[in-house]
Formats: sequence, structure tokens, C-alpha cells
Amino acid sequence: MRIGHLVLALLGLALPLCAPSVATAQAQAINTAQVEKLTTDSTAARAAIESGGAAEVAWSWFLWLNMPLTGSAPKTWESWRASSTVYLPNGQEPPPWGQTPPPPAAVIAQAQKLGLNTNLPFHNLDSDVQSDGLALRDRFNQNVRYQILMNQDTFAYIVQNGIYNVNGQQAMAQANKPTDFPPSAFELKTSWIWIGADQSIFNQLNGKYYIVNAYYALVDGSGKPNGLYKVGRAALTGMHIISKPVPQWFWVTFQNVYDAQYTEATNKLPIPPAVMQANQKYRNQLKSLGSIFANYQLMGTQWQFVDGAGKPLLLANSQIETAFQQASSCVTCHAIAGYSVTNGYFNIAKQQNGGITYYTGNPPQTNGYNPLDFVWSLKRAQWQR
Amino acid sequence: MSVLSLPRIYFTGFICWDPATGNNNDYFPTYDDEQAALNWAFFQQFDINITPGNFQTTFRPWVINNQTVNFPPSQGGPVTGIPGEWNYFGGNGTYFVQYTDPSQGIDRRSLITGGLINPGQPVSSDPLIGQPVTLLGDPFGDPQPRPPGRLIDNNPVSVYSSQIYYNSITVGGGSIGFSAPRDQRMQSRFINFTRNFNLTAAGGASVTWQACFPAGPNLKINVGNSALLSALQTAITGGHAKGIMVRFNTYLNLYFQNGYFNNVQPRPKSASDLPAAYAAALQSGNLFSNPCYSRVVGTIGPWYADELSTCPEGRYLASPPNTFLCNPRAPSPCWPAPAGLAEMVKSAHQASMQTSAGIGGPINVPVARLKPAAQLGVTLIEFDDKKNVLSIDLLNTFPEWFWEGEKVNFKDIQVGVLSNGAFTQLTSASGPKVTLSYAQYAQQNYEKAGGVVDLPLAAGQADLIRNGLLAFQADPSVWVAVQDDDGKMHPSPNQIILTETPLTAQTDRRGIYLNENETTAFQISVKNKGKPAPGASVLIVKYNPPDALAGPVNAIPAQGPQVVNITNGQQTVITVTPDGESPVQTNATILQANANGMVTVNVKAANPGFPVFVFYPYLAGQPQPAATGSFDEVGTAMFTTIRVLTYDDAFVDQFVQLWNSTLDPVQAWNFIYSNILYLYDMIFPVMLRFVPLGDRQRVEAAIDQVLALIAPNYFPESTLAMPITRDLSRGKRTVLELWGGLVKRNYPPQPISKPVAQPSA
Repeated sequence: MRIGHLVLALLGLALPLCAPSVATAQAQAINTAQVEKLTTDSTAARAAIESGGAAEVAWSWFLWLNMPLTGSAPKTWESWRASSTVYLPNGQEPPPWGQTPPPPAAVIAQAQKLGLNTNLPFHNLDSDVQSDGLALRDRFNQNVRYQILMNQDTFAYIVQNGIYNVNGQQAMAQANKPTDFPPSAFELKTSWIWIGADQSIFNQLNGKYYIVNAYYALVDGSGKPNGLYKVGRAALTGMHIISKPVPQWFWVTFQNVYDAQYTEATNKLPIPPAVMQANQKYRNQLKSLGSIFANYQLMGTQWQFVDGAGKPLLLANSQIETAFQQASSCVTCHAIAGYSVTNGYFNIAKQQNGGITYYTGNPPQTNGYNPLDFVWSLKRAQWQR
Repeated sequence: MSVLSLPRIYFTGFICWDPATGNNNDYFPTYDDEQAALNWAFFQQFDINITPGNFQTTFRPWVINNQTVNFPPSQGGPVTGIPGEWNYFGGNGTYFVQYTDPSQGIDRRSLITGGLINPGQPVSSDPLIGQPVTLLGDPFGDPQPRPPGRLIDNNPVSVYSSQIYYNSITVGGGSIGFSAPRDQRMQSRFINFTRNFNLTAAGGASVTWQACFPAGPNLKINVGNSALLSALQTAITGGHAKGIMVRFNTYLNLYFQNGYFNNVQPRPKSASDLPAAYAAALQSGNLFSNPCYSRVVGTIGPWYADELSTCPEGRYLASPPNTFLCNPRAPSPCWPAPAGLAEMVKSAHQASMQTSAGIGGPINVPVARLKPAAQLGVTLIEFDDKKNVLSIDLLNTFPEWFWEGEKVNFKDIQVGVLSNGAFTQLTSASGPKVTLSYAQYAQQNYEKAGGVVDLPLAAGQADLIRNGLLAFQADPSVWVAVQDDDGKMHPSPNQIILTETPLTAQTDRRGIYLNENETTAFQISVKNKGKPAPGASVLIVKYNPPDALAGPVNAIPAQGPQVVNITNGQQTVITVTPDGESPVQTNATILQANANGMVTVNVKAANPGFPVFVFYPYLAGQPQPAATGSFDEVGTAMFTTIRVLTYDDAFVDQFVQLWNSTLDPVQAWNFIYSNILYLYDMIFPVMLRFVPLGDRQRVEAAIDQVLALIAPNYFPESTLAMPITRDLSRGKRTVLELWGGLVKRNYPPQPISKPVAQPSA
């Protein structure tokens, strides 16, 4: 996306070209050139991260991904590929970029009955489990749901290397060829309160949360789809963003400021002062635009395992790492992403002191596991059958 | 010298018990304990429409509602109750309560209350006083250990095999206190079912627990400016003590207390509220605990050589057989009371009218049902012959009247020695004969001094104490009764209410688990009047409950399945008479104590079951003790319990063959669910909050955690070992691990092999 289009997208005004002067003045508050550069130029992002500008980079990514920042038009990330369209049930090659399979007809039919705008994207929120195997409940007695998405460069690498199925990952492991995504690779993990068709929930969350059309497939106890879908709306509670301007990736996470009110999770880690300053700056800018994203805040960033004193660095999102926030190091947990021909994927649960916790600080040895370049979502790949 | 030596640090408070009750079988044998399965035969026998084909829709509605099962008269006749009982959604957590709610005037914290460094000089001012006492579980997510520990019965149908699994006990924190990591789990000791005169069933029981912590780098004591901690540390660093001992009693058990001991919603007030609350919870997913809460009084002190870790020792006093203390004013007293007899204490009716202002604030007051009589619990005594002080552990001795904790007044009690059947009252240091006054065992002193009373004696009585049997004798006006074989009470020919059992045989290894054909060894400490008894013998007799119902635990007939075999010692066959039955022959084993008074017992599993090994110690030259035919003196017997897990190693081959012939993840899952997970899905619904065990996607998503928590290295002590109830046999665990391996590799369409390490039957 070029800068001229970016400004327009920022305002939610792809058309008409004549933007109101007031809105233009507000838009100038956000340095759109910097936003684009820090998102699309990994070298610039790396320089900023390494020179103390981590929060600026994080906010730039969030803004860029959520353009247009106002209006009902789909956001940039909404055109990315959901993992459910990449790692297919029988390990087959996914349809090319730009040919994302549409939602099932049954979903559209149900959406039409509910009066949803079927011209907008429908997100397949295909999981309700966090990486510790547990679920987070919202205040409406439902589980918070999740979706993983990737940009074109991530998708392309997966397809080109045939690692959309386990056969491909096994072949790389047998060839001792580590996975190595390009610096421009992006991946998102998003978390959602399920609204469905419940008008009361919608009314409570509308104006506070970014809300999309969504669905998920229903399965029986043995995991077999029964052909039925839940269809409705969902509200974005959290967003992990990762990209690879540095070899160990740069880890960014945002949450809605109302999350503690509507889900059974509270934040256990403090937001660093520099991040709070950035939050104030960008949330004010978004507020002046009337953007719903003014209700989101950066929780922190991570790109190193330990601080200068060797103490493990932590980063968590209460919506995505609810129960193990105090043992949550994104970069460490993903550094151990690996596949072994004999053992499968590395076990992230660490036996410690009679219980289980998760790896923080410098990562453990993973001998015998072929590195997956920090990308745990490759675990979703299936065997060719 | 245990916690009866100095220094002592006292604490009081409350403990939470949150067991899952779906496997309790108090009303119905829902749970087949030997097979760790739903009891399909029971359902079929009584026309209950729960089958392997429909249980996912029929079991939960049945288990949460009142049911009547028409047992035949031989099994006691019809029974009505809620099969899931009082805490269907329990998670087996246990922890010292630290709950306050100023708006209701509730303060139920578990805190250090005082101590004793020098005899007769209680410490009432020390920075340690007021510090919290905490029972922690193993870490879950957060790397720091946090409450709760776990309450797990070795035999889930029994009342005598409770265990507390935990990570550590801490006192205080930061700059003052100590942190003591687990050495081994605690075992319920000396259960006393008549501990309370007005609380019924389990509510009226008390139990003593003990945990010891060896000195070393893991035991961290931050003395700060606490004289109590300084004295405790000195006892260790001075080289005398080998660590810290924590001993406490849990008593006065209250049910249906949500809102008073916690802020849990909903708040059922009695069993009649449960069906609707359970149904609503299953509908909404808001599963709620409905824990039991007990009072706690405890003492912390030094742990010395020759002392067991989990079993209180010392000179061991128990109620003489069938001897009770009566309440003359009970509705049905032991025998007719003369008119005008003064009440022992207040009436049950008066007590039940008191609805609040008890210790810690209001509670949901239970219904009072006055008992006519009670027995005193096991009491331990140490005699310091240098200081001439008799220190008595009354933690488990005297009953309370009702929930307020007021002790029943049995008047002053004479403390003395029995020699050749004659009672000689000891003489105190100040001159008069030694009595234990009501004030000394009453509530205030009991709670303030950790249940310990010190009685200074006049010099020159050491031989008397050494050679005789310590005993308590009640005032002649106190009604002491002896119960005959028909349960009828008669006036006792004497007033002896506690008497010493000189020989004790106790083990730290209670709650043993064995797999198919597995072997292990455990040790018994044999002591004579509190001192190691080298060369003493122990007769071991095996008992086993008959089936899934809590029934009589009779000696195992010599001709029947032995459940567990003892593979060392002198094997013999003896004749015993189970309660109400004809004499039977049973296998017994005789073993000798070594120079340290320790006996080693080697055992090998023979069949699934829950045997109890009762120890009958005797000295060289003494006749072999007579063993009972039934294990029913659970409060005073010296025993260990074993669970031989289900024999299902054959599942491993079945699973391997299934996978290799189908390569079908759905069929693999169905095997796992229908043979293993279904039980926990039904009996322990709390898992719905964490990992719904009937949901393949959710279980697969948690496979990393499942594999970590079913690992054999976590079975012995972890508070998080899965399943919490520890009834996963080796065969089932191996199958789960095989399946987990498939999940970890996303079900490769390739055959698998049986693990090489898998022992065969």
C-alpha cells in the first residue's frame, strides 16, 4: 500500500477522494509515513527496535494493520489468510493467495437470516483453547475464541516449502533444514468475545470493541464436524502481532481496555512506563479520529530473552495467556518451536517443582527437534491422507 | 521429643476441604473402585438407565438429583440420596483459609498465635504472631507454588486413608517466617468420630496431621527479630533437631458454608438446595465448589532423630476398648438419669439457637443432634525426666460441645500411672496430686497453647512413669460407660478414660499405590513407651473391604485372593472372627524389628483392591497378640493402606492393535475416552472448567500438559498428578501416553509399537 492510499485508508475514505478538511487535520496527528515504514521496512523496524523505539514500532504495526482506522470497511489484516485455510484437514496444498475459500454456504445462509452484512469478511474463530490447554470464559458464560492469521509473505514461505502439511515438515526435519521465514513475514493471533446473535451482548460491547462477522464449526465429542455452524458477531479482545525484523522475531500484544470487565481475566504483568507513554499518545490520536481502536492498548513488546541482569523478560496478554502470565515469555516459548520425526512437536509444558510451568529466559536445548523458526502455528499442519 | 519439646510455635485457623464427591459411594456404589470405572453392574441390577451407550446424556442428570434405590433388606433396604453428594464439582483442593469479609464481620484467617520458649512462660509478643500459615500446592502455570494442596483418599470409599498432597508450608513471608518444602505427603491419623457432641456424621470427626521438614538448603528460615524463630533455628543449628515438625488437628467440620468461608456463588444451605444448583451450574458452566471447612489448632516445633515424619509418636494413650464418656442429659442417655441431675453443659436446643458471633463471624449453623456419649481421642505424652515435666498433646483428645468450639466439661481429670491394674496419681511439682483441670483442656487454653499442656511434676517419679502405663482417670461423678456387644451402655467398673498402649508400630508409608504385579517395601517403626524397640516382633494381618460399597473391612480369608502378598518374614495362618461372622483363617506375617526398632516389609501386588495391613507389635517373650477379624478400630489401630490399581496392562496391546489396523484418529479417541477418560468426565465434572474430557479437540489441545501431569515421576507426590484421584493404572497411563504420542505427531498414518519399557503381566 502506497502512502497516498494509506492516508485515505486511515480515514476510512477510500472513496470519495475529497476528504473533509477537519478529518485531514486529525489524520496529520498520526505520522502515517512512519507507520508504513516501520511496518513494511524490516530494516527500519529493526533499527527502531534496537534504538529504544520498540513501542513506536508496535503501535505502527497495530495502526497499519487496522487501517482504515474508522468506518466499517474491513481492516488490512482481515484480508490475510486464516490458518484454517492454510493447514487443511488432509494436508492438501492450500488455494493460492487471493483465492481464499469463502465461508461455507451454510454460514452465509445463516448470516443472511440474522441480517448480517455478508459483504464484510466472516472470520472463522476456529479455536477456544489457549496454548496451556485451558480456556478463558467471558462474562456471558462462553469461551473466548481465537483465530490465527498470516500475511502473504508468511503464506508464500509455507507453500513454497511445502510445510502446510506434516509430510513437508518431516522432510525438512529429515534434511536437517531449519525453517527460516523472511523478515517481512507477519502472523497474528486474535482473541474474541463471541456475541453471536445476542443483541444484549452486542449492545454492551458495541462502541467499546471492534466487532466483526464470525463463525465456527460445531463438532461432536470425537472431533467430527456435524455440519452445523455458530454464526454471528464477535468482539476483538486481544491481538498478538509478530514479524521478523530481528532473527528472533519482534513480539507485540494489544488488548482492549474493557477486557477485565467482560472476561474472567485480569492482567498480571505491569505495562512498562515507556509503553504507557506510547499508549497515551496513540490512543489520544485515535480518539481524536473517533476510531474504535482508541480502546486498545499496547501491553508490551519483546525481542530479547533476558534483561541486562540476566533476568527473564516476560510478556503476556490476559486474553491469550490467561493462567500463565507470570511464566509467559513469547520469545522463549516460541524459540523452542520444533519438530522431531520421532517425538513430534516439542512439549511446551515444563515440569518444574512438582507442577508445570512454561519456559522463560534463555531457551532450553531442543536437540533432536528441527527448528520451526518460532512459528508454533505450524503445529496445525496435518498429514496427507 | 517432637512438638512437645521446646520451642513451640502455635497456630489456629481453618482449613478448606474441597473433595470431589462423585466417587464417595456413601449412598450408592456409583463408582467401581477396584476397576476405576462406572459401576455398570450396579446400574443394571437396579434398573437404572445408565449404560455404556447412553451415559453421556443420562449419568449427570441422575447423579445430581435425589434418587431412591431399593436395596434388598440384606443390604439395608431402600436408600435415598444425591449420588453426586455434597460437592460434585469439587476439585480436591485443601488449604489453610485466609478469608475475611469485614462487611459481615468475618475474619477467618489461619495465623500464628503464640509460642513457648521457656517452660511456663508463654510468648504473647513476637513479630511472628499474626503471620499467616499457608499450605501450598505445586505450580500450575505461574512458576510459584500457590494454594491449594490436594486431599486425596488412598481408598476413596474409606474414612481412614485421607492424604494431604502439598508443595510446601510457609509461615509469614518476606523478612520473617519460614518456607518448608514437602518431604512427604501427610496422612490422616487417629480419626475420632465422636469428637463433637452435636455435629453428626463426618461433621463430628477430628483428625491429626503431621509434616516434617529436614534441615538443609531447602528449609529457609528468616528469623528476623523473632525470638520464637530464633529459638527454633537454634534447636536445629545446635545439632539436636533434624528439622521442623508441624502437627495440627482438624476438627469441627462445617458443610454448606459458601458466603461465610469464601465468596463462592451459589450458596446452597443444605442438600435440598443442591439439585437445582447443580443443574444450573451444568447449564451455565459456572461450576461451583461447596467445600467443607474445619477448625485447625496446631503446633510447630523441632523434629528429632528416631521420629517418623508423618505420624505423631510418643507415649500413646487411647480410650480403653468400648469405653465412653456419657452425657446424662442426652435425650437417650447411656442409662436413665436421676431427676434433678445438673446438665453437663448447655442443651443442644440452646446451642442450636446461637446463630452467629462465633469465632471468625457468622456461619450457616448446622442442625444440632445430641449424642449420648463420646470417646476420647488418641493422646500423646512425652516425659522430660531432666525437667520433670509431663507434656501432653491434647490436640485430638477432648470433644467439643457444638460448632462454637466450647469443650465438654468432664471436670478435673486425674493424671497418673497404672501398675498391675492399680492407678497411682502423680504428684505435681507444687505438691498436690496432678490433675488436668477443665481450664487446662477447655477451649481457650486449647486454642491458645496448640493443644499442648505441660504438667510440672515433683521429682522422684521417673521410675514410676518409666515402668507403669500412663493413664487418665475421671472424677467419680462423671458417667463412664462400657458398651457391650449389643451396643448397650453399662456403668464402667472403673473411671479410667485413657490408658497407655506401650507398644506402637507406625509407618510413614501409609497410602501405598501398586500397579499390576508391582513390588515395594515399607518400614514400620516399633516403639516401646516411645523408645525404639529392637528385636520386637510385629504380626501383620491383612484386611480388605468387600467391594465398591463402604462395608465391613474383614480379614482376607486364606483361601481367597490375597490382593497383596508379603514376601518376607515368617508366614503363618491364624484364625480370627470378623464382626458378626464365624471364625475364618487368614494369612499373617511375623517380622522382627532391627537394632533401630525398624521392620522392613516387602510386598507384591496380587489383585486389584484396597487392603489394610494392621500391625500388632509384641515383645520377645510375650504371647502373639490376638488379631481382630475386622478392621474397625480405625481411630486407634496401627496400620497402612494400599491401593492396588486396576489390572489392565492388556489395554496397551489392544490400543496398539486398534491403531495399527485402522490408523483412524476418531477410533483412537473413542478407545481413549470409553476406556479411560469417560470416568473422570462423569465423576469429576470440575474438569469441564479446565479440560472437558469428553471433547477430543480440547484434550488434544492440552496434550502437552496432560503428558506432563500423567508422567510417572509426578505420581508419588505432585498435587497436580492426573487424575487427581490417582486411580490411573500403569496400563491406562501407557495407553494415554501412546495416544499422546500420536497427538504430538498429529496422528501420522503409520503403525506404532508397544513401548519397550512396558512391563508385561
